[in-house]
Parts: sequence; C-alpha cells; structure tokens
Amino acid sequence: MTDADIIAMITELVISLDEEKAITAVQNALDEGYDPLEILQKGVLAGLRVIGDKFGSGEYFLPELMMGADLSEACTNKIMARIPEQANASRGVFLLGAVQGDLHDIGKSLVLRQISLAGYKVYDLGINVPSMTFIDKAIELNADIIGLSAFLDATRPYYSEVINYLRDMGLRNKYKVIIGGVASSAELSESIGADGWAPDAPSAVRLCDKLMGH
Amino acid sequence: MLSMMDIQKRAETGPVMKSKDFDLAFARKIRELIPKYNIKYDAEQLIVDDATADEIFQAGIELLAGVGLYNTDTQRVIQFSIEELQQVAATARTGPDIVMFGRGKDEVCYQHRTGKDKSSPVLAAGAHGGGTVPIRQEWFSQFVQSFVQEESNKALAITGGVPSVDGIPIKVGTPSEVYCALWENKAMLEVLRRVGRPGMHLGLHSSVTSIGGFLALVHEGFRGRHNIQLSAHVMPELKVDWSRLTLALIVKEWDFVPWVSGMSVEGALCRGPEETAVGMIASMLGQLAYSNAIPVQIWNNTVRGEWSRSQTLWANGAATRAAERNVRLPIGGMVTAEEQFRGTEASLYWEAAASVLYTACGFAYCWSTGWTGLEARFVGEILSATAGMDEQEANKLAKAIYARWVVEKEHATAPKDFPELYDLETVKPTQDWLSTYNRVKDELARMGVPYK
Repeated sequence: MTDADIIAMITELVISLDEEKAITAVQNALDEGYDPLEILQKGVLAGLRVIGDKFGSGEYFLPELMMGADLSEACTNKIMARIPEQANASRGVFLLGAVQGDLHDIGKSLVLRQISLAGYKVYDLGINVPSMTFIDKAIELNADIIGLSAFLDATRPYYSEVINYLRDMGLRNKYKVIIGGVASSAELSESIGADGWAPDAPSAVRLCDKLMGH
Repeated sequence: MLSMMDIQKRAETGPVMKSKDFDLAFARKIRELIPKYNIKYDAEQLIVDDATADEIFQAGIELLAGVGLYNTDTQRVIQFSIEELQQVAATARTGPDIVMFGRGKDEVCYQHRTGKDKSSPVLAAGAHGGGTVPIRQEWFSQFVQSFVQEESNKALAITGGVPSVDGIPIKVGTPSEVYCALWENKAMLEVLRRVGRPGMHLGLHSSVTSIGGFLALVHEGFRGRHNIQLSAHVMPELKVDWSRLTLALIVKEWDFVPWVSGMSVEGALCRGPEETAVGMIASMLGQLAYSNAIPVQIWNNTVRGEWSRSQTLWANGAATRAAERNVRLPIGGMVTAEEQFRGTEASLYWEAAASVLYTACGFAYCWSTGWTGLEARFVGEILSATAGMDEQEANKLAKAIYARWVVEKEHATAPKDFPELYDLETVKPTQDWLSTYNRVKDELARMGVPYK
C-alpha cells in the first residue's frame, strides 16, 4: 500500500462510518510513522467533509452525522496526541443551546453535528438553557462563538437577553453570537445586534467560518 | 392510560441515557422496523390501504416499546411494554370517540371519522401565526374576526399570538407572557361577542406555554373546559419533560382537553415518509399513555421546514389512517402551505390537495387552513364537497391538484400579509384576494372538485 492508499482507506472508513476499523487504521498509520497532520486533514477531515456533503444531498441523516462526530472525536483524540501543540488547534470553540423556555432540539442537534464535522470543538448546552448559563459556559470553555436556537415566538426575547447580558457585563466583543431556529430571521439578527443568522446547518458552518476568518 | 405517578416513577428509575444516545437508538430501531413491516412510500398511491395503515400502527407500537419516551430533565427513558401500549390503544379504541367544545349555540362536536364517511370533517380553522409571520397588535382583532365570521368555521382550533403588546415582547416564563396573553384573550373574546359567537372554542393557546400562564387565563375567566386545549405533547422525537407531564396531569384532573400532537420530522432522525409516519404514531401513543386525549392531531414536516410535498401528504395521510383505524379517535391536522407562500394563489392549490387527501384518509377536523378567513371558507368548501368521495377518485384528484401546486409554486408571487388581503375597516377580503379565490375555485371545479 502506498501512503496515499493508507490515507484514502482512512477517508473511506470514515465515510462508511466504520468506527472500529477507522480507529484501528488511524492507530496503525500513526504507529507506522505517517504524518499525524496528514492523517487528520487528508484522511479524517476529508471523510467528514464527504459525510457533510452526503447529508446535504439527502443521502445521510442526523444519525450519520452523530456517528461521524463520534468517530471523528475518537480518531482525532489519537491523532492530537502526536501533533505539536501549535498545530493542534481546532477551527474554534462553539457553544450551542436552545434558549430558555425552548424544548426543540432536532435542528439544534443538526447544527451541532455539522459544525463539529467542520472541525470546531463543540459543546451542547441542551435545551431550555438559562441565558446566564450561556455566558458562564462561554467564559469557562473560552468559547469563540455562542449559538442560540429558538423555535417559539415567545422564546425569541431570550436571544436578545443573552446579547444584553454580554453587553452589560462588558463581554460583547469577546464572543461572536449567532442565532437560528424557526423563530429567527436575518432582520431579527440585525435588530438585536447578533453577529449573524443561520437558517440551516450548512449555513451555520459557513457563518462560523466567516466569523472566525477561515 | 397509565397513571401519572407511574409515569413519574419510570422517568426517575428508567435507564439513564444521554440525549444523543437516545436519538441513535431511535434511528436504529426505526430503520429496523420499516423493512420488517414492508412499509413503502408510493407517490402514485397517496392513500394507504388498510393493511399498510395497520402495519404502520404496529410499527409505531414497536418503536415506542423499543425506545420509550425520553425525559430530558432526568435523562432517563420512560419504558413501556408492547402489551401496555396495546392496552393504551385498546382503551382509546373502545372509549369515547367524541369530544364537545364551545358553549350554547357555538358548541361543536369533534367525532371519530373514517375516510369513507360522508360527513365532512369539522372546520376548526384557527388564526394560525407563528414562525416569522407577523401578526400585529394593530390588526389582531380583524385577523381573528376574518376566521370567526365565516359561518362554516365552527371553532378556532389555534389562535396565533402577537409578538408584543404595547411594545412589550412576549417572553415565555415571565410576567410578560401572562400580560400579553391576557390582552390577546380579551381581544379574542371581544371579537367573538361582536360577531355573535361568544361560546366558540378557541383551541390551543400559542402564546402561553407555562402552567402559570394557563392558570392566569383560567382564573380570569377567559378560558375554561369549553374553549381551550393545553399543549402537553411529546416533542420530536419522543421527548418529554417535567413541565409537560405536570401540565398533562393538571389537564386531566381538571377534566380539560389536552392538545395531543403526533409529530415527527423528516430528514433528521427519520429518513423518509415511511419512518416519519411510524414516528408520528409512536409519538401519539406516547401521549395517549400519559394523557386523557380524545382529539389527536397528526403532523410532520422536514428538518428544513418544508411540508407541502408529496411525501408529507403520504406520511400525514398514512398516519391519520393508521390512527383512525386503530385508536378510533377524532384525528385532525392542518392544510396550510409554508409561510413563504402565504396569501398567494399558489398556496390555495396546496390547501386544496391536502384537504381532498386528508378528508379521504379520515380527518375528523381541520385546524389550520391558511392565513386568512377566506381560506377557511375555501378549505371548508372542499372538505364538504369531497367527504365520502371514492378513495381512488380522491387519490387521483389530490394528485392532480398537487401536480398543479408543484407548477404554481415555482412562480408564486411574493407572500402577502393580512392587511394586504383584507380591508381592515370592513374586515372583508380585498377584491383581488376574492378574485383569486374565485379563480382557483373555478379551476378546481374544472379539475373535478364536486362543489355543492
């Protein structure tokens, strides 16, 4: 097998969501001295991008995104241990939760998985998240982006509550805040001073990349 | 129905599981069930046969028994056995199949109905709002009146709320929720009095989601057993929390009527209409296990917020038929097109296709029929015209209208809001909107809708 074959095999195992074999292949490649960064970028992350594309085309669904995220985390943990610290950075740290009073989580889960697949370190704060919890967690985890999801009209004011807390605590410039969910719109995002609005999971990834300058 | 204390015990002692793992268990189980029961979407046959309807129902039982309901507060699974769920279905099937709402001359009866029944589904066309559709305080009363003044409309099964009152935004779980809901209810009751239908059912209150808000409405006398349904339903996919279960118990103890909603989302955990139909049945059964439901609504959309699709017609129709045959409760749902088509000629074709199909599948009531009262009239006329239509004839007609919708939506005009469609002084449709209604109605008559 050539180097390219080994990397291509890892990519294929990631795409086919064969967690056990993918982890073994990554471990073998590392043990044989392959460049960890190459295994990560050309093997695992390339596979994850295909998973994302397959979701976009309707071939894969949320469970595949979840399995892909789990698989990539397991592979990445092995790879990261061999990568020098300066190369070990994720694309950013992203927190996501459904705002207070909101119990809808399917759309939120999709966004979380897609952003995870794009190479961000993600944290799921769950549903019905008190506004201050977003702030506390952002500080604790040194987040880059806070994602707020809302489905109901009556939960929409909690978007701005989080932003107002950040402003009043002198933290507004420290974090990017993006909004999504049925209750949101581009106009709303602008009116409450959010950093952007994402109507769906792929656009959330694009928005995060844009905000992070990737 | 199990006792709520039993449900609570299960929610506190069932298997501990992360939400993500529950989702994966759900997906694995539903993927196993579709081939097992040989359930297949057929764009040519949008009305499923009896055997398929029953298979979908059985798959729904097996799904819920296989994965349970997930309590997001305890992160434990509320488990049920197949036998318990069969008993839940049997209790529903052999219990009352009728529920009354409203008062006096405004009383309305929701009763179990099959697709073959000649009686029309009840038109309970609410003033549907929500999402990003603006319903403004300035014209809220006229908006509600447009529905209430339609004689064929027997109830407002949902009442969309305004986003703010006097500049105060509605914020769930805060005093503003109560403040704004009280304003809305006062306004709605004033409209009912004005049009001479003071006892009309007002259905699901969409602005109030908390127990405190509900209590405030009841205490003020705006809402009672006769005119409200409380939302204590399972969230997609198969998730509940303490607030919903607590509300379900209050609703039962007060002999109110819960809003039961068999919901599922296509494109997320469910891959296609087959899985979505089974998901809706499992969701409904979960609610029947803990609540005193009689009317049940069936609903699915895609994760991208679309629902005016052939797959949705099939899935909603299949779940309706599965529920109608196996729990024999009044089953209902909505026929409104997506928000971006509101107030357009194109949207009327979707509303027509869905009305024809769901009437033939066994809708007992129809609760969301577009964005104005004129559309309630439009849908009511179709429900009435096609009730009792031969199944294959209904299938053919629904497909033909759906095909027309697919063409029309490609060049639909920009959406219009209520003030562009109704004269706010007279609360009558504008000449333009009325002409659109008449034009589409004429076209539907040519296509085979046997208007009375």
